Amino acid sequence: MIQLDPAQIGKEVTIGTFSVTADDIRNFAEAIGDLNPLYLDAEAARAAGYPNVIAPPTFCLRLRGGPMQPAVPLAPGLASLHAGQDIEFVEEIYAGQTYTVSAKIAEAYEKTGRSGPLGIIVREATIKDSSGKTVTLLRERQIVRSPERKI
Amino acid sequence: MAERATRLFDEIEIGDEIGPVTRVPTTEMVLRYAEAAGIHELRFFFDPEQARLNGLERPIVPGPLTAGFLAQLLTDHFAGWRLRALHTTFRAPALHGEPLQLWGTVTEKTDHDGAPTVHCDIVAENQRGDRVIVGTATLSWRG
Repeated sequence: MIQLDPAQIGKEVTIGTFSVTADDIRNFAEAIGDLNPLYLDAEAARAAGYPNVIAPPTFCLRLRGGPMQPAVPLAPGLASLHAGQDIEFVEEIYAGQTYTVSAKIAEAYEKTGRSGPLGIIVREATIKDSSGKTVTLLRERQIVRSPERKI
Repeated sequence: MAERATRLFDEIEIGDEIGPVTRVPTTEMVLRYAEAAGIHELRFFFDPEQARLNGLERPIVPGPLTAGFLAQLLTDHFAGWRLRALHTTFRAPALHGEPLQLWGTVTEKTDHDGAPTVHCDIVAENQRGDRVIVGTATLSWRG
């Protein structure tokens, strides 16, 4: 089911370095329907003690990117779903800052659940600002299974 | 939307309810989220055929979008506080256009070393009574 070289577990890779703009934050906030002035109005953010607009909490997932990385090869025909995430928000993400995202596969294993065989992949990502300070820790769980089991 | 209100530590009690708030993630919202979150290549969120190939009856709402609704529930309810941790388990798929009721409960409050902290359970439930997301959250006083 999961076709992963065990040596890849725990191996950290850099996903990328991203500059965050106020427009990125506004687009994301509007997309989730969260119009908190701290995300949209630099004056409101400064009045609250921030240097610029801050990002909604789950904006960190935008920095992590689309398909969860590092990629894990799967047997053909399998389907996968995001099963959950644990996010620790150490510091706010600001407009005008640059962030680097790194990630690793923390665990990958198979088991038999009530609906048949499952693969479980756990990834951990770290987002750091340009000074190297950790701002977000992310742990995500992916489930792999046969697509014949409809949800 | 929840009322955005500053709550002082002493005003918060274990057992306090957060919400409920109802959100309806439309297909338009999913498409906009996919673009803003950079997940537009995950087509099973909006393409029926890709959803079927991935074992889904129909396109679903991205779990992190629903988690974002829950984060907003908390940051609106606890204005003046900062979300420190958000732990979520995606238990069932949320469907486009189906209303989701979001709520939470304060489960613990601590004030160690002058760092007021509140812990909550959080839930997103669809109109059939399925808990789409369950989780926990931690907030600290921003002051």
